Amino acid sequence: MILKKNSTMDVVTNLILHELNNQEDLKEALLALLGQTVPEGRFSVEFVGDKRYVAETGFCLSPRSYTSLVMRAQKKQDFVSTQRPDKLPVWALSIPELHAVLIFYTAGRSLSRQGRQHITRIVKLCVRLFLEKKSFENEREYRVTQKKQLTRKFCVLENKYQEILKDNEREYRRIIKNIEDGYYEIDLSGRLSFFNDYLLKMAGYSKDEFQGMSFKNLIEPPQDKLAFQIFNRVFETGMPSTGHELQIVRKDGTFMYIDASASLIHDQNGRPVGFRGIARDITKRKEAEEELRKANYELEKVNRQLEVAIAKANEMAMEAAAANKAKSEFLANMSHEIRTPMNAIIGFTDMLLDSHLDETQTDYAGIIKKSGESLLALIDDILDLSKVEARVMDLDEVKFDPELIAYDVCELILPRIETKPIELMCRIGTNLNYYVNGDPGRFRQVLINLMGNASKFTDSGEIELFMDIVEETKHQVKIHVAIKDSGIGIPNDKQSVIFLPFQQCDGSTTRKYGGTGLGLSICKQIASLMNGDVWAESKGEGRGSTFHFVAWINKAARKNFKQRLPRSLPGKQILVVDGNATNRRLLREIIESFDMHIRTFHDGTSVLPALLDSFDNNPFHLCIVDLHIPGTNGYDLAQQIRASHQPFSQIPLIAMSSRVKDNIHTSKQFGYDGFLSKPIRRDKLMQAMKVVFEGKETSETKPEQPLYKTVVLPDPADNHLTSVRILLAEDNPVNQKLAKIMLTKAGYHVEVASHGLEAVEMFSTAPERFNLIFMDVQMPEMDGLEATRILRQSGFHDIPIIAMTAHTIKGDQETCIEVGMNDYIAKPIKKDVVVKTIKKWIDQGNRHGH
Amino acid sequence: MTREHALIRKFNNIKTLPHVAIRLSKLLSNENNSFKDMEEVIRLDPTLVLRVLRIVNSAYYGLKQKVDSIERAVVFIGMRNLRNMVVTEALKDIFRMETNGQVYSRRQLWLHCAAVSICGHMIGERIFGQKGEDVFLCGILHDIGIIVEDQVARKSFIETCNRFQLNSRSFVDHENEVIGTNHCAVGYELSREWSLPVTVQEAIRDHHRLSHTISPSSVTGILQISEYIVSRMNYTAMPGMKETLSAQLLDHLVENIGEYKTLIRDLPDEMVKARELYDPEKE
Repeated sequence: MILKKNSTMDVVTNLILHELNNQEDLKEALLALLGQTVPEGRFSVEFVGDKRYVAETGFCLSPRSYTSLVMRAQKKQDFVSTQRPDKLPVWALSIPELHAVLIFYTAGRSLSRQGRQHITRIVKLCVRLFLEKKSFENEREYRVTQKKQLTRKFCVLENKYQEILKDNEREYRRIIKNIEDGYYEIDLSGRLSFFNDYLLKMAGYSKDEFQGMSFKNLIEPPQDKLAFQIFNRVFETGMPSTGHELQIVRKDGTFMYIDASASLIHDQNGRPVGFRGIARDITKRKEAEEELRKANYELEKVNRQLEVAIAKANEMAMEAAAANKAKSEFLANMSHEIRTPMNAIIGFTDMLLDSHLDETQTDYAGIIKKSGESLLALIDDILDLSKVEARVMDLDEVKFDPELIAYDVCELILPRIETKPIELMCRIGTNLNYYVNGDPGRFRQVLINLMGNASKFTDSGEIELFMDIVEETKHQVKIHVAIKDSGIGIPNDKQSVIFLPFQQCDGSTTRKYGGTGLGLSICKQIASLMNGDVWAESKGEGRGSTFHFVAWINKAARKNFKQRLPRSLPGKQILVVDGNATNRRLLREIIESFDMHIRTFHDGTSVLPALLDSFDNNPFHLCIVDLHIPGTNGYDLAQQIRASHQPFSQIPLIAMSSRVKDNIHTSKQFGYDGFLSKPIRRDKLMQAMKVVFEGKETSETKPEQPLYKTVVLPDPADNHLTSVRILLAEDNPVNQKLAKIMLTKAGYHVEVASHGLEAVEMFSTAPERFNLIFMDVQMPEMDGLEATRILRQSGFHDIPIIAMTAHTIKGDQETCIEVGMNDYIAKPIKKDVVVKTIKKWIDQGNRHGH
Repeated sequence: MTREHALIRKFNNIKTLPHVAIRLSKLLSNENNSFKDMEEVIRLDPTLVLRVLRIVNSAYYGLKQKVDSIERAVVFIGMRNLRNMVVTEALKDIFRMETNGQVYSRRQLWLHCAAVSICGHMIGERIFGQKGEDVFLCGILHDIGIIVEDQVARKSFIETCNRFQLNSRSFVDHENEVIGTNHCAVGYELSREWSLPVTVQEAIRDHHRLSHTISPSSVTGILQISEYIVSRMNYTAMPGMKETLSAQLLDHLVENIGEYKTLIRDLPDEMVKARELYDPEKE
């Protein structure tokens, strides 16, 4: 793509010239030269192009011959010739440099061959000379013109350069104008020659004042010496210098601090002509440093004060801890000190009641007992409340089933409403499908309290305990218990007051109903520990109330109720007779949750007709009858069915009752196959029905055991182990006596030790004599814990050691287990607890003894 | 909307615009813009930065020191030069795209424009003692209208070319008949959109107009002279295009034939020096 040089360019030029008709000059010049040199020649120059050439008259050639001659000449480098009609030769020579052809002939005589050669040579020479000259001239012209043109170009470049310089300068000025630091230039005598607006602002001068001012005006001694040194160093070394902190005096006399730099300015010849640099305002920084220093000093002072305060706080904390500890110890001691005599009062009163007393004495003893129990209850409550206030109450983490607790509590309450016409119902919601990890004792305590209140303040009607899970997270469930009664109700303004300690509804409540007024406040505290709450609702006086208790408890395992559903149940038809509508509804819920069908009746009148009607298409498989329905009671109804001589007369029957006097034996006599005590538990109902449907079908099962034992409360008075020997370690003589009598009466052999050391000795000498040890914890000489430790260390690992402790503070129980005790019971000891414990531990062991 | 506008609108939708070049032009028209602004705009196209630096450091500028940043480049060669260079670079891409089955070659067109711009620049500097930057820019841009037509009115354009081959009337006449406008008008509109200097705009518009009012030293005049010379060297825009000059310009040429001969003689060297600028093979 590179253009070829000169020769082609000449052609191009000539092309252009050809078009521009400037070739005429060339032609004239050449012809002139030739005319001079070869006077006898006649010459013509034709410029090459697409045309026909026409010769001048002198040539005597036709256009055709002429043209052909010209064309031939172009093809050759040397002369071509042709003959005229008169035999004279005409020559043609191509001159490529001119893009032309020269044609000539000689006038006058004809020439010899030599002559002709001579002529052509001369013409050729002439042409060459002409071309050389032209070329030379061209060359010269070229050089001269080139020089002219290049000079013009340099001028242009010079201007451009100046423009660029100006642009650059403008740019620098703009930069300098805009930087937020001061920029200065001074000459060698220290006068300001150039500066930016920022510097002006910093120094507080006007432009006119500043221009030409010596920088010494800005610096006060002794700093001026420093400035001189800096500039000198820069001057001598030629190296810029930075980071100098100087104090500047502004026009108004105030001071400011700058961080300055300096470098040399050179002129075009490299000679130093001044200095330039940046001056940064660091006044604020300096001020800040000063502030910091002052602040540090203050901080030091404060730090020291703080240290003193902390030391004091630590002291106080230790005192508080000590005080708390003292409080806890006081509580523990109080607990022990108070319970011990209470133990005796209640225990011996029980003994008294068991002995032969006349009516009056029984009456009196009963009152003493009741008072004692009330007192103990009050003490327990006060202790609980103190525990909460001393923040000593902690919650256990134990796996339990809330549903079972609900049933337990209902059973516990049942005796209290025995004498009143109250229906007690226990309804478990469908969401209650979890075992939980929490404190069953405290959970129970709340429920007992609320149920106790309901039973106390209701004379007739219903009490319903409803429990369900209402919220669930990944790890916890929210249990909601609602206890609804048809009792005396609570006026609106008292519904929150009752939860305050020592508050009851009003003074008269205490007199009529008794109670300490602490129960609900303790419930509130316990609920709050469980991240929940208790509150009351009531439509008003005389219109019953509902107490709500919610608590968040950690989940344990899932209960799969539906999975345990026996296969024999779904699809069966059940007939239920119960005089209480709520109970009927409850039973419907439960039975339908078993995927069974149910029809309910409120008395016995329509039962037999119903049985008859349905027998053909959709017979009933089971009847559940409350023994105390209105009109015909349950016993009679059963007899009627059995004696009916109808195909359904052998239909399975299950009796229900809340009365203690009703039981399996009584109902069996009247034809019932099973008995359920109220409040109905769904697990027991399921079990009973399973036994009814499956138990009857299999012959292997013993009729007595599976049918009855599972539906009846266990009788705590089983005395099947009469040959158990117990070692009792108790220091208090009153309690000693109490326990000994209780245990002996229960049929056990008892031996007594008065303190730990004695217990160890007695056991060690004859370990096979005893099946179990009851060890009081607090004893003189050697306490129960130490004694246990020694016994265990001595190698007596098998013997069950049960702690009896009045300490109900958390931690005690763990301590007992740690030292090697197997179990613990709380003081005051109760007979059923004792017996249960003995049974538990002797059952497991079954060594020793006779 | 005029035909030119319609074509340009279509052209704008095909992403072939040199954004950088336009922004640069707009920058230059405002005195308050700084080197930094320029640099930022150019930096938008990193390959452009490289190409620009390569040109700045080439024989064309003959600088003694090596320039390694746009900021420094601006310091040495000035903003106007830089703009021209950037525009050239940006347009190179458009011109370099070959299209299939041509009746004309885009490469050929590019070479024509390059030659015209270099020659015109020389004429401006060496004969008239002017800064040749605007002429240079004109040279590059004056036939961009042809690219537009080719791109967005293909069929009409090819028809035009075909007719031109058969008929000796001017290319512009054929364009007007077939397309409804011509590359001078289109180029003019485009240059207006890009806020190029007015002289450049007018030169593009008038580069085929023969008129005695066009002075030889004007941008238009120099452009025309340059085209004339270059076409004799066979660097034509379209095969078969032969430029003519107005009587006034011809006279000027004849009067200064010596100057022009010298210029033509030096032209090859200048083209070699400027190779970096225009050679499409180099990348």
